[in-house]
Amino acid sequence: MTRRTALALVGLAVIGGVAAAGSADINVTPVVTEGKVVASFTAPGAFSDDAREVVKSGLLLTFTYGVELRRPSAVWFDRTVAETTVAASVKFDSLTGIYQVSKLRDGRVVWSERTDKEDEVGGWMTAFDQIALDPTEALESNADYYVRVHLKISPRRTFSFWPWGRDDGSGRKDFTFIR
Amino acid sequence: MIFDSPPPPPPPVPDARRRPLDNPRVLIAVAVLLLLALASLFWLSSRTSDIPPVYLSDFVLYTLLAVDLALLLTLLFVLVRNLAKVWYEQKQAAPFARFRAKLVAALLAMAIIPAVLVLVSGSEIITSSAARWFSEPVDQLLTAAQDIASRLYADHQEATAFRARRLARTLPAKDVTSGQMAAIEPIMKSELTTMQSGMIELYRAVTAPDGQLDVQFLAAEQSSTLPPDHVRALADRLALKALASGREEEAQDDLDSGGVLIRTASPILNADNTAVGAVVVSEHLDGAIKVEARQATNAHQNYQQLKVLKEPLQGSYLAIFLTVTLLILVSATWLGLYLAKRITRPVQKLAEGARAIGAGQLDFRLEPETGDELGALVEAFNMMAAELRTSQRKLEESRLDLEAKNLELDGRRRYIETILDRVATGVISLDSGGQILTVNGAAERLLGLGRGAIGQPATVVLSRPDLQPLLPLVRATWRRDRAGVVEEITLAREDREIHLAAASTALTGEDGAAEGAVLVLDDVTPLIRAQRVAAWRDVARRLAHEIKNPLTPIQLSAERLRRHFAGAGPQTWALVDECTEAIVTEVEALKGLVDEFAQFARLRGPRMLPVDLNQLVEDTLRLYAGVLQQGNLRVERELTPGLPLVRLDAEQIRQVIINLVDNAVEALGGASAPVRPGGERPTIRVATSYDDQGGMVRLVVTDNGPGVPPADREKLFMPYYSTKGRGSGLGLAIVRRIVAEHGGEIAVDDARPSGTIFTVELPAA
Repeated sequence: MTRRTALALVGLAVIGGVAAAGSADINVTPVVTEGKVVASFTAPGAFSDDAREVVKSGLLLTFTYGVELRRPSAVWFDRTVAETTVAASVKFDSLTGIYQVSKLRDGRVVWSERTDKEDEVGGWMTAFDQIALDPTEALESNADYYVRVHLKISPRRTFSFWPWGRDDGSGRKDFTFIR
Repeated sequence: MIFDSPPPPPPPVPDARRRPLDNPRVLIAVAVLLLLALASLFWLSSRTSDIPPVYLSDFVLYTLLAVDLALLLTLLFVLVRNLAKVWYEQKQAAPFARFRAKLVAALLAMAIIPAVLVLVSGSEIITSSAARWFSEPVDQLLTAAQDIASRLYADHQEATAFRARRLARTLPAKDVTSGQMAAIEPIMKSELTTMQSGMIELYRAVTAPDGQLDVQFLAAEQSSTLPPDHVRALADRLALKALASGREEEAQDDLDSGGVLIRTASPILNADNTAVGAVVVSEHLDGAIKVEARQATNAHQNYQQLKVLKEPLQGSYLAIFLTVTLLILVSATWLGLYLAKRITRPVQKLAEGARAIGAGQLDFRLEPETGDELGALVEAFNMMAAELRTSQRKLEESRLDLEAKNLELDGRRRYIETILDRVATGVISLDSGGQILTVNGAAERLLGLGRGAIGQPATVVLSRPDLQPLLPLVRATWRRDRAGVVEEITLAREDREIHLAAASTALTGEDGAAEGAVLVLDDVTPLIRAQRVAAWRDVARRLAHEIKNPLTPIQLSAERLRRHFAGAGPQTWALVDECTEAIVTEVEALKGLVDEFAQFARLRGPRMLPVDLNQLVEDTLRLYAGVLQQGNLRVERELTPGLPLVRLDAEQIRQVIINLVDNAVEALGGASAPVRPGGERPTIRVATSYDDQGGMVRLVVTDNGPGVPPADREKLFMPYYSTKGRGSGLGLAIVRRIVAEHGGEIAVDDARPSGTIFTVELPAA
């Protein structure tokens, strides 16, 4: 068995870990407005060269962000107060050189744009502004909360024998809810 | 003994541990499912080129990895479980555990080693094949094709942009605003003539009712070759977009006819540099060209996608291969273990069955699981067990029969032994070597032998001085073979004679070989004694008859002589008186003697009535009260109170007591007996007692006189034997006869320090 085969058989499981170790940081900015929490975030490193290669190949690249408003707990698991899912996808037509970018929230397209500028695509894919988080219960005054955003990129360029539950990027921002 | 017909064999013991997988239908279903799974995987692997890479690298890959994980866990579970079972069986030293362990190891090795080798080599093939998917020339070729296609589009786009820009500068803004087409249409037609196939559309800016910027279509010029399926709304939106942005806007509209319209919208500016309208120039690209360009682009994109997704795609193929391998491995492993179980389980069951049969559970049966050779073996085992059961049952019946016969024989033997032991006839059996085998109680008693005589040579045992008369008999037995020897032998034992009628018979087998001899001894002493007594009674009767008859005439004649010579002279009278007196006196004595003879001869049978023996003794001894008052002689009574009544003839037993007491008085010297030499007072002790074990009442008369010599003891009870030198000698003979007729016995023994003891035993009522 060659070294390459050994790597293919044994080391592929490690690749997932390496990829996870290289996941992008997400800058989260929660804002409390009129008793509600909205979150803006950017993932500047998410639109990486790998992502660009995926886009250039004509594959539909999707960044799926899970946004959670959570209440920390010292003795138990943190409680999720509100959550939503937003996504950005881009499809590149190499014949015309046009990027078709769409943004979705909870599975619905809320915004779409075409461009031939890659930089614009990177910005649209990694920045979301004013994502409203509707809590299932009234937020407690002067209580600590945090907004957590985790990113999953599809398709993956890596392979792991245990691909489940791995984020491609994450970020968190704590705040105190003051009414 | 009646033998019942053999019961039907018990049904085979059902195996409660039988699992669903032992059912052939389940096995077939599992095999079909496995084949379906393998077929699905082969189909999937053959259709990977048709599956979108993203779908392959995401959904399919995740699914396969989940299946791989499940199969891996299943394989580990199957291996660990079965290896643990094998280890446990070996630890418990279960039958065929080592054989099963070796079989499992061999089958696992046969399944795992090839599978692992195939997995390793297949993985290497996949990895090396993936590296060959991509090559620089192909990459360059596809990139060049894609560049050409995109350049074609770009050139058309630039051309439309150039025309739109030129028209926007050429068309008079005020005419556009006012909608005066006279000056505009020639310009548009002139421009159209320079285009191979295209269309020019003109719009002017207007304000919508809601105040928003909008466009109004003014005119359009198009080539005659332009397909009619283009949609003006798309040009409307592009014009509005250019008007709103104030810059050129580009678009490509695919036509249903297959071609594409490459459009560019350019705003028309007035002198104030305000957009008053927009011109949209569209060039038609033929469908065939579009298809070729798109094919080139798609080929390039597919190639790039493969490059991008090389790793997950490779993982997908590995996962498919791993799934197939694990499926085969799990199936082969399970099948190997299943086969090992199928092979060893019947053997283990046979071993368990053999142990059960060995432990006596002959009803144990095995259920054949298969119809193959192992099943035939199980059937043979069951037949063997059934035959063993039948044989065991017959043996048991034979054993019970033998036991019953043995018990019967044993009972008979004990019965015969009891009879032999209880009979008055002595029986001694000898083996062929002349050694004593058995001696019954009568023989022991007659010959004074103990249990130690058994096993010793008869010649040794009978060499004892008092038994030596038997030796010739035994020797004669061996000499005469089958012919019996009968002799009357008299033994002198313990100062008395024993008369034996001895018969000896040699025992021979069917082949004539000597097997031993039997010596039968009958004590005929009482018979001889009775014969003598009978003879004496006859003599007494004759004496009484012959002697008593002349006595009366003799006495009368003497008295007549006496009366006749009453007047004779003194000398004569003295002589006659003396002679007649002597005659009369002797005649009276002879009469008394004859009366005793007559009494002995005519002794009647006893009239038995329940009598208190103590009271009878008291009444009898009271007769001696007056007689013995004057002398030294003393009569003592030791009467045990509470004696049971004895059935006896009171008059005869009274005579027994009187005779015994009279004998004692005579032995002590009469009523005025002198003091005994030792200074003892002459004493007669009459005692009674009861032997509750023997049921006999004893009457014992003891004196402290001189006693009876041992040689005379047996003769004491013979008629006409007297040690006193006077009397008839019939007293003790009468006593023995009375006691014997009462079913009792009388014995004489020495008293200590001197004297005689007469013991009479009478059966209690």
